[in-house]
Amino acid sequence: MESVIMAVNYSQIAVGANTNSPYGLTLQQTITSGTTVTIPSGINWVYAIVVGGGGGGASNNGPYGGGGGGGGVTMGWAKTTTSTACVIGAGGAQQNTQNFSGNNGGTTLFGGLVAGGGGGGGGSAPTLGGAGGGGSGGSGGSAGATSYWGTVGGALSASATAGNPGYAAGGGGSSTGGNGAVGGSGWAGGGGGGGGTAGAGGIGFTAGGGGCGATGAAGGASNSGFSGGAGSGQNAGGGAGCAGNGTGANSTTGGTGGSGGGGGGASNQIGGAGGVGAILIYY
Amino acid sequence: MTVRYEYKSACCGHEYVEQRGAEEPMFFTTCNACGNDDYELVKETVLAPDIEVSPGPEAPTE
Repeated sequence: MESVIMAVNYSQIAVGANTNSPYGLTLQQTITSGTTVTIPSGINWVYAIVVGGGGGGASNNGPYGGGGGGGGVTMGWAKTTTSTACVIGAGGAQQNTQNFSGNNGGTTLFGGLVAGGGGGGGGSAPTLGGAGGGGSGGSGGSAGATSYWGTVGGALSASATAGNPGYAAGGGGSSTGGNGAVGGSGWAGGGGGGGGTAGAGGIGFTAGGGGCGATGAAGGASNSGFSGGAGSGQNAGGGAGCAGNGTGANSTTGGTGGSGGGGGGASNQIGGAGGVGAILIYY
Repeated sequence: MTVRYEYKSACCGHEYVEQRGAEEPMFFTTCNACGNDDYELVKETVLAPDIEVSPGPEAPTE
């Protein structure tokens, strides 16, 4: 029997009015808060895209911090009732203590579907499908984190290497203060690596936050139509989520990841928070 | 505070829901069915209690 392998192109999944919605269904509900979802009577199954919270950015002064990875993305048919329980994963909390890694994003649950959070910047490993956090640069820096699905992060070296694409990994930091590498792109973008010129967050359905450096990087863009935030000085912008833009950095704080799993931007003082997770419901 | 916002497209009648924090802006302003930018808010329900979301684990010290 001839086997068939179906290639899935994440860039073809759009969330608004379009011909690329799953199974030709229509986006009926977007959920980023609450513990239950109200589904109309008579609808027992829906198609859902479930997104974990984005990882928060690191807060490194000296070793340049890495950006948070985008939240994990899971999709499929979800069994529902008129009041279906859900858990929305929080974005990785803002990192207020200097020289710490970013915090991981939380897990989102709905109708039997699970999506983990992105890894915090500074090389933190993600959970349950999330993208890897970007590595921190400078001496004592770190490699980009491997994604939950095993995609290898960028190396920590003088010339840092980018995170690999797919279920994406974080970009590597530069061990000598050279340029940090970009996070890998894919369903969930990896966080950018720190370095002299920091790496940008990877793009994806959820995008990674930028890395911190002498020049802070921008957060990655989401192919659901949202933009990453811009860097400011040494600090980096937040990555876009599948439901909102990442914010720009300011003089003290990395940008916040966009709603729907965007990764937070790194900073030399306060690492930006990751974006809250989301559930997109089609029927 | 979590709020359930119910919208309806003025031209095609598509009904769309966003359940989000009160401080968050509307995510998708373009009608998901017809593509026109004409969603009108028809109902707003404050859901109680306030929502606790699952926290991510603490970050390790570098």
